[in-house]
Amino acid sequence: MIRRLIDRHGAKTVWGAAVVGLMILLALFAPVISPYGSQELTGELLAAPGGDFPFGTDRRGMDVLSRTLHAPRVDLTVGLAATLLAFVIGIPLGTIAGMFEDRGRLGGFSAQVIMRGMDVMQAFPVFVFALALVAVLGAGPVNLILGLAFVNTPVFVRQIRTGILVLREEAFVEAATIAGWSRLRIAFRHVLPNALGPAASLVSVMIGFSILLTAGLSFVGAGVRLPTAEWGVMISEGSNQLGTGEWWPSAFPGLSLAFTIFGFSLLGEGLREAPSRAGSGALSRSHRWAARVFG
Amino acid sequence: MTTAPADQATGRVRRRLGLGRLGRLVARRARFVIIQLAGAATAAFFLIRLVPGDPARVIAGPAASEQVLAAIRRHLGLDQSLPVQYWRYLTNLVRGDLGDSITTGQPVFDDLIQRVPATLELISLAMLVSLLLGIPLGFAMARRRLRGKGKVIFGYAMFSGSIPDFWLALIVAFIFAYTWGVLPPPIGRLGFETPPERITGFLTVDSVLAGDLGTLWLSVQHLALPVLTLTLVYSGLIVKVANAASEQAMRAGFNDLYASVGIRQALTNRRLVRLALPPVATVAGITYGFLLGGSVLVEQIYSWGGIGQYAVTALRSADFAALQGFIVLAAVFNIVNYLLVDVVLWMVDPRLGRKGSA
Repeated sequence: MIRRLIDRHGAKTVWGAAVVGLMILLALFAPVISPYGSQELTGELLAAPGGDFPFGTDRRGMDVLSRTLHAPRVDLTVGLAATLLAFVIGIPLGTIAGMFEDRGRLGGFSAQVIMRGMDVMQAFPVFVFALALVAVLGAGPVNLILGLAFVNTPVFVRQIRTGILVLREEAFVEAATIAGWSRLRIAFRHVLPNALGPAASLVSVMIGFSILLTAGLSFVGAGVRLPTAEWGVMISEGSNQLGTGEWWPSAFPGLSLAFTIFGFSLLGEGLREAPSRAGSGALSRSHRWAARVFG
Repeated sequence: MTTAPADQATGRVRRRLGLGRLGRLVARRARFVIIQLAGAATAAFFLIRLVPGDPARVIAGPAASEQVLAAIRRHLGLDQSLPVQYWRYLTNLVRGDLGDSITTGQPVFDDLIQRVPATLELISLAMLVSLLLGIPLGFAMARRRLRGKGKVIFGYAMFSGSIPDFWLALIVAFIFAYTWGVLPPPIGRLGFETPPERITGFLTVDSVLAGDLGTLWLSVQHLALPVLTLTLVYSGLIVKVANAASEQAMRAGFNDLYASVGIRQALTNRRLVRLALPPVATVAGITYGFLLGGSVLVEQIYSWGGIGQYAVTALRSADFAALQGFIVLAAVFNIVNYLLVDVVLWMVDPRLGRKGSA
C-alpha cells in the first residue's frame, strides 16, 4: 500500500506526511500515551535512559520521554498558527503588489510601499529579527506567534507576488478585463486562486522553519518558558548537565525537533514537485473558462 | 600618442576587471542601499518603541521610585515627543552614537566594535569551510563520481537544514570536548590564555602577526567546534545549489564538444565550475546572513564574546539600546553582504550589467 502511495504522490510527500501526521497525533494524544505527566516530578533525578524511563529524567526529575511527547502541543501549535497567520496576511499584500504594480498612482504606490516594506523587513537576519521582536513584545506563546508571523510574512508576499506576475500575462486575465470586470475582482477571484498552489506548498516548509525558530528563541528564554514541555526549553534545561555526562535531557528533544522539521520540509518539497508529477498542473475555473472562450 | 607602459598596463587591468563599470554598478546600487539602511534604522527605532508599557519601568524594575523612572526616561530621551526622539536617534546614528548599554555601562557602539571581530572570525571561517567543501562535493555529485556516497551526501544536504544549530553545538561539545577530550570545552575563544596584542581583533590573524604560533593553534582549536557546528548545519544549501548548478552547466554545449575533441577533463572541469559559480555566489550570500543569525545561539553556548552573545545578554537584561544597536548592525551587515554578492556575481558572470542593464 505504501508503495502505491509513493508511486502516486512521490516518496518525499509520503514520508513527510507520515512524520507530520505522527506529530499531529502526538500533539492530540500525548496525555494518553505518555507514561507521566508533562510536568510531573517523578522524584528520580537525572536517571539514565532505560527501565521506567526510556529517555531518562532531567535534573528536576521530570520524565524526558513524556515531555518530549508533549512538546508538539506547543511547537506545532505555534508553528502552525504563525505560518497560517503570515499566509493570510501575505495573500492580500502579495496580490496587490503583483497586480497593481503598474496600475495608476494609488495602485503603483501601494505596490511600491508593500515591496519596500518587505525589503526593510528582510534586511534583518531572520533569527535576529525574531529575537528582537519577541524581546520587545515579551515572552509567551501568543507573542511568539505574532512575532514569527511578522517575520514570515515577506516570504509569502514575495511568493504570491511572483506567481501573480506570471499569471497576469495569461489570456484569461485579458478575457476578464474585456468582460468588464474590475482589476480588484480579477485579482482576487481569478488570478489569486491560481497563484495559491505554489504558495501553499511553502506553508509546510515554513511551519518547520517556525518550529525551529520557536525552539531557538525558547532556548535563550525569549519564547515559551519553564516548566512548559517544549523542545527548545528542554534542550536549554539539559545543557547544564552535558559537562557532567548526562546527555539525555538535551539529546532526545533535539532529535525529535530535527525529525519534525525534516518531516515538514520533506512534505513541502514533495508538494512543490507535485504539479510536475500531475502533468501540466490543474487550472482553476477561470482558466478553463478562458480556454473555452479562446479555444 | 605615446602612453607610458605602466598606464597601458593599468588600463588593461581596468578593462579586464571592468573597474570603471564596477564603480558605476556600486554607485547605482548605493541609492537602494541607502534607502534600505534608512528603512532598517527606522524599523529598529519603532521596534524598540513597541515595548508594552513603560520601558523605564521594565529597565528599573517594579520597586523603582518615580524619580528614578524620570531620570531613566530623561536619559533615554523618552520624555521627548516621538518625532524629536526619532530625529535625535537618526542624527546620533549617523555620528555612530547608539546610546549606552545599561549592562556594560559603555557606549553600545564601542561594545559592538569590540565584539564584531570575534563573530566575523567565526562565521567567515564557517563560510569558507562550507564553500571549500560544498563546491567540490556538489560538483563531484553532478559528475556522478561518488556513486553510493553521493546519495548519502545528498541525503545529508537535505537533512542538514533541519538540525537545530544550538542543539548540535551542545552535542559536538559533549562528544569532542567532554567525552573524548580532544578539543577544548566551550569556554570562549582562547580559554584562560591571554590573547595576543589586539590589531585586527581576529585572534588567528593577531597571533600570526605577533609570531605566536602556540596561540594560533589554541585559537584554531577553540574555533573548531563552533565552526564544525555552523558548517554542518548551514553548508547543506551550498552543496545542493552547487550540485544543481553543476548539472545545469554540464548541459552546456561545450561540455560535449570538449569531450569529443579530446580536451583534458581537468580543463573542462575548470570551465564547468566557472559556469556554475553565479548561483553558488548568490546562495553563499544568503548563507552568510543565516550564519550571523545562527551564530547568536552558538556564541551563547561557546561563551564566544561576540555580538551574538552580547545580544542574548541584552535580551535577558532588557538592555534595549544594546539590542537596538545589534539589530541595526545586523541589518548593515546583511545589506553590505548583498551588495558584495552583487559585485561578486558581476565579476563571475560576464553576462551581467556590461551594457548598462542592472
